[in-house]
Amino acid sequence: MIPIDYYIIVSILLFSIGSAIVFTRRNILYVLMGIELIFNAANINLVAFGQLDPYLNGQLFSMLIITVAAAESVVALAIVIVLFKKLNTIDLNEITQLKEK
Amino acid sequence: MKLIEIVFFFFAIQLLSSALVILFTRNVVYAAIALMSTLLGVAALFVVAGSDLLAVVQLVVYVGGVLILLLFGVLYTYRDPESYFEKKHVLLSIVTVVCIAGALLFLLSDLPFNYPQLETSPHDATGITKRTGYLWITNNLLVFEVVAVFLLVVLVGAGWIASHVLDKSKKDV
Repeated sequence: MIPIDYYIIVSILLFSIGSAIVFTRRNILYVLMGIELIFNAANINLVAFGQLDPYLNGQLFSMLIITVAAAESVVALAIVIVLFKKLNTIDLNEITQLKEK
Repeated sequence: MKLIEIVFFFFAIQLLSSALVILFTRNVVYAAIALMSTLLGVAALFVVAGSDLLAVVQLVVYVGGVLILLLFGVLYTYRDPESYFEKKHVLLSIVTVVCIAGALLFLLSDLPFNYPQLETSPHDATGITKRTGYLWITNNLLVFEVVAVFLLVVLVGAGWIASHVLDKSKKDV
């Protein structure tokens, strides 16, 4: 069995790369990808610790996270498509209000 | 070094380097492909951790579902990649990664974790698939149903958002 510290280090690095993407990018789709990376970092931790649990709570919880992440990206893409149709941009610097102009 | 450790480090390096590609590439299509590579690496780490069922779920839901949706979004909204790019973002993202990773590693290196260091996981002999299914329909049945209803509501809602707003904008024209 791989020591859990290694999983923690991998997930810390993945989490920091994901948050850097969320903080610095201007394209909404990059931000969504960064959020997916953050979800995956959390999942790696849950699975690594869930190995030791006879009730597999980590595995069950990370399955829930995968479902919620799928739901999140579906709604986000619906919003992205509507925004692109209305404002003709997905640049976060140009999207400043939800109200119609 | 044992074989399982070599496999672990191979996939860890693969997933982290493709995550770095997402961070630094200018072309959003390349970023989507690198995201696929990252998700495959995470699935491989799940296998190494003994959660083969979760690796399959990861492949079906993320690589088969979310990534295809994301690629659709990428191609629907494609614009010149240079229009989003600013030079200072490269430096800014390096600083952000180093700061967050350094802070978290420093914090976690101080904590005394007392989890057991086992040679083999208790689930290695039987696998987790049967046990996971059993636990979903016994101990965690309510959560399972709530998530099922939640997913239905989200899918209908997303369809409604997209179609309703588009219909309205068509009438205005």
